Amino acid sequence: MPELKIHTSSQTDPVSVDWRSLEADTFETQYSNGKTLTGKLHWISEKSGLISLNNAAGSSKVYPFYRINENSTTTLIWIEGQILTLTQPRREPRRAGAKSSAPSGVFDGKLRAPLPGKVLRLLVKPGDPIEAGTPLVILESMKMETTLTAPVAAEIESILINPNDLVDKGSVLMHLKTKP
Amino acid sequence: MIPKLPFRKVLVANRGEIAVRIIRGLRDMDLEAVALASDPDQAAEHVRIANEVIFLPGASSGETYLQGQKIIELAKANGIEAIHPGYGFLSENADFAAACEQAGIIFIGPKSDVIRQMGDKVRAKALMQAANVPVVPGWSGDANADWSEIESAAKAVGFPVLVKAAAGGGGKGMRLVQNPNELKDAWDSAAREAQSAFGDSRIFLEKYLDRPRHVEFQIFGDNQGNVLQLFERECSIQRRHQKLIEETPSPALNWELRARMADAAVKAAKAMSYTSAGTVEFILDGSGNFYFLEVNTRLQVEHPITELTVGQDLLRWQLLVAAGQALPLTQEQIQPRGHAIECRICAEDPEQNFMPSTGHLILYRPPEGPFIRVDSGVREGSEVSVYYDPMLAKLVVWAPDRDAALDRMSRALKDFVIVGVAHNAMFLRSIIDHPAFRAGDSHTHFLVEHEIPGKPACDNPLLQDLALAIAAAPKQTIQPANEQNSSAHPARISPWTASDRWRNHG
Repeated sequence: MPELKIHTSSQTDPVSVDWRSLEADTFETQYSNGKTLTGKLHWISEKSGLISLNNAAGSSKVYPFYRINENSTTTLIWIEGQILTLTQPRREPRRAGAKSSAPSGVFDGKLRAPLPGKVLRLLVKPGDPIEAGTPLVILESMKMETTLTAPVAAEIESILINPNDLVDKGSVLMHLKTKP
Repeated sequence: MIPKLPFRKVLVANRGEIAVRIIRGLRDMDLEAVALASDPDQAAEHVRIANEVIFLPGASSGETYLQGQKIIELAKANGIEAIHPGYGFLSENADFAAACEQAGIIFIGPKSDVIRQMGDKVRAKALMQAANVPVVPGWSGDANADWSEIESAAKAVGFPVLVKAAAGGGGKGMRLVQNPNELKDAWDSAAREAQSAFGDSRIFLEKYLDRPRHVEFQIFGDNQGNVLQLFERECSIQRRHQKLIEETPSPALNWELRARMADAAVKAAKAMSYTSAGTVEFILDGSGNFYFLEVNTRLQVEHPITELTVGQDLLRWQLLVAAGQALPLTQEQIQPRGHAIECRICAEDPEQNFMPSTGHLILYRPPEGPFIRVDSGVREGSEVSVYYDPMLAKLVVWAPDRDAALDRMSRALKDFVIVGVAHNAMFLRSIIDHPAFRAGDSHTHFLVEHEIPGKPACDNPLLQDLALAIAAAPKQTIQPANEQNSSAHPARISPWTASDRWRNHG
């Protein structure tokens, strides 16, 4: 039973899904939250497929879909004009005594580039005290300016970039010393 | 019938969807279409469909598509007889147009002195005022005015005030300033953006109108002195001054107001002795007052909606005019039919404040059906790079009336499959389906006022359950029942699937 996490704005708990193929293309899925779904899988190929669900009236509503396995743990599903991202949470054996990594949502002191681009202007220097929301650096990507702001109140510890540098998505731009 | 033109080999000095559209149009007229390709664009769609390609080493726009002198040298070395600049890049660069004229290459667009005049928003406004075209109240002092003078000018115009680049266009170098203490930052940042985008940092001030509509008129002139107007486009749905949705006719115009605005547009065109395709932009307030904004001396992004309602190929007209021929129709022969809408599909993530999204287009399946036109700059497998504009495609639909066109657009947006980069198709759909937009109540602050969600139906529990089911569905291919039967016929089996089958049944 694969456990999957669906990335949306509201739901974040991983859900386990159990797929069972029944006769005549029919399938049944059971979810760890207690729900079930029954429908037909008409066909599925490398990237696309077609599912239908029975209406009360007797006809079936069809759902063409695309399924892209982005990597071994991430699958993108296109359905009804929406793209849903699903990941299989990694089950890392927890070593006894090992310090768990910071839970997501807690700032780790590193300001990262949210998109690739060119450093247009630095608005702070090392040692500057900053409040949450203080503009720190202006990036240019696709001819548009994006201003990165401080996620928390902190002090600028070090700056790893210079104007006109090209930065990759996710690269660390600055170290911020958060106030204890 | 293909008209005889004094040029055959045409360089398209652009990239993306407009280069694709122009190259197709050139090939429709049996001309030789030559593409330009920067390093990241070697496999781009506009290169794939051209007759020839000229490589431009480098990646950024500044190193490549903005290198006017280099492009003209390459054009001369390759026997190019005419250059179409598209929109953006060099299209409104008067020096480039003049350099083409001097090099004996036909620039497909208006004359360089008209581009220069209209590219300077301050001069353009003065010319229109002299021609009795109404203009927006504002201030345009000299470039060396000291800061206190600018500050008091802004106070005199009244806040909120728009800070605009004299060389600006397409929303670049433009800032809205709500109160006096934001003025300095906005002025500096607009000047910086204008310097980097246009190489000209001059700024002027304009009165900010509350909830105005953006209504523009397509104009066309030829070298025989004929001027036509091809009716309006309403482009009020904008995000940070970038147009997102355009339609024609405007739901705000009756025939009386349309006639008055069209008359002003023709007056504007005649005041500049305009040749080729151009657009006269106005803002329109709730009481039917309209003011000249600027003239765009190029074929606009949104030109297809006019093409669909007037039934003409505007690129073809540009080529005819560039060849010295007269416009093929008279004003009376231009009768718009039905309603057309365009949505700009951009690689921007509505969930992350419309941050540009880059990546590999794993899936790219544009919608199909009657009266749907998709002008794409990409195809499945394309890379969307950090170097250029994030627009992937323009989705354009036509229908006999506005409601039917909106329904068609809503369906087409839902059918547009793009996987690999974040994009705004469903965001556009929630605007198209919004009751206020349906009612025709659009204005340039629509998105701010109505707080349109980025991804409306993503939290639908049934879709989530279906997505989970699809992720858990079998990994191997399952064919439809009828195809399974037919593939049992030996003639239809490829050796590869056949060997799979044997192994399975081994």
